[in-house]
Amino acid sequence: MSAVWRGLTYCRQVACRIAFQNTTSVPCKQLESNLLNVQSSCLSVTSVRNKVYIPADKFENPSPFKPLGPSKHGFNPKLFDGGRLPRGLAEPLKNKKKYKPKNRWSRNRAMFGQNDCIDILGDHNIHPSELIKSPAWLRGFNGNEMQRLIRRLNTEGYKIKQLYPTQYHDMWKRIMYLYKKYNRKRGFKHR
Amino acid sequence: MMVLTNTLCVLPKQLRLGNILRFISTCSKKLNDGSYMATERPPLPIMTSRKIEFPNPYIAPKQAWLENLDTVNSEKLGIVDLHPDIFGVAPRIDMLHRNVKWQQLYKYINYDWEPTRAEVRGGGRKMWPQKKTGRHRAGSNRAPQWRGGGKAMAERGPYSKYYMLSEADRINGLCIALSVKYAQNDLHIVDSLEIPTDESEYLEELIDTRYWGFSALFVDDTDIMPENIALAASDIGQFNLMPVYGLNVYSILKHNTLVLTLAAVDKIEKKLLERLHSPFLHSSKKGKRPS
Repeated sequence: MSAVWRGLTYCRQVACRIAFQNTTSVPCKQLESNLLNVQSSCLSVTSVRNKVYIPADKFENPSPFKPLGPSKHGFNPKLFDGGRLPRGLAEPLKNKKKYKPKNRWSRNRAMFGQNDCIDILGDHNIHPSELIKSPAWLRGFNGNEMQRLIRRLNTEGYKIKQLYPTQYHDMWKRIMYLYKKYNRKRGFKHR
Repeated sequence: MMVLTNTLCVLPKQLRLGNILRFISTCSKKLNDGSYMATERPPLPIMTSRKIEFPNPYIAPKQAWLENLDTVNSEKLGIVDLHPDIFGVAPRIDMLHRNVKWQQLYKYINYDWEPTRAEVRGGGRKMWPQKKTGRHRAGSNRAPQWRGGGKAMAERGPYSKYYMLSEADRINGLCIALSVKYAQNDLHIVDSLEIPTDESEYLEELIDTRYWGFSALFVDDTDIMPENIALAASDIGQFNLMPVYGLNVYSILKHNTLVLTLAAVDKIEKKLLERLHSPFLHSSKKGKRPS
């Protein structure tokens, strides 16, 4: 792409030089646009890496001291020079996930928090911790891993022992490990 | 007017104002040309004051319009007095945040679980000799750096973040949320939740014409709601019905408009004032369930 811009710049400079020398009644800009038929939006693209472009309206006449033609003629920079982002792709990226907003008013989300003050506004016979949807041994309980394991063994340990003996063994193994860890090291108790 | 309200207070429960209004508003019908027949009402205003328990001697009661739901445009049926300790509290946003945070956390359960190196099967054999191989010192192929090995410092089993906010804070949060809604003109008190049709378009039109915002929460004192409004609101996610015992800070803040029936106002005030003036409020500081 940069080669195209460089070619355009070259043509424009030549055209302006001719127009300046002839000093015709036609203004430079008009002649330029007639000759090249280039849209103004295209000309607004500036190259950062190789400064070859000067906006058309910056000077009324091009500098006589500036050498004719583009600088670094024949040098191929091999880098994309068309702007900050890789635009101009023929097709949009296929792997990009489509933005899918969540429904903030689905049934669960709209009624989130219902009955959280049931012990205050209700008939004082029910507590919000009883309504938590969780395993029974975890309902209304916040403890570290060892406490959770012990609590679970207390409530459903007999069942686990009969149905899943390996899991029962692993749980006890973990409890023994954590007991030592909590009592001999620091900073793990509250995980 | 005062005579009327005084007599109503004496009447038995079945003949209370809310129940009478509920009966009257069921009479509204849809006409053939699409409009709704105006309901027969007692001479307006129905009420200009309301009996308040535990009145605050220093602050005058807050006032709100009593509106209706059986016509699209709002009709002012009367004026309701609201308790200033519940509908006129200073808006402490930190307290609201504390309540919302508690609501999100106390029932949060994380089920993530990864096995440790002890729980993965195998791994008892030393992979290669300690020395002379030029390789690293491997003792087990279930160590965390191995593919197929256990996980170190992993999420262990279902855990909860349960904690109980103190009861005083939760009551305060409810009062603040109601006060904020009242102060921002987002609290509306209606005679009943009876509407003439079960079409959701009626409810949408009503809320659009009254500028009640995107979403609305309708609160009644019972959990058996009128059939029409239940059917009308069932199609639309942002219009929700809730009994008084389900009311909470998160829902009040989530919905743009809070619509309370007169009976719901009575019940909320009664429950909250009962707790605010109870000598046992601060006895259970953590809000735990009394055993």
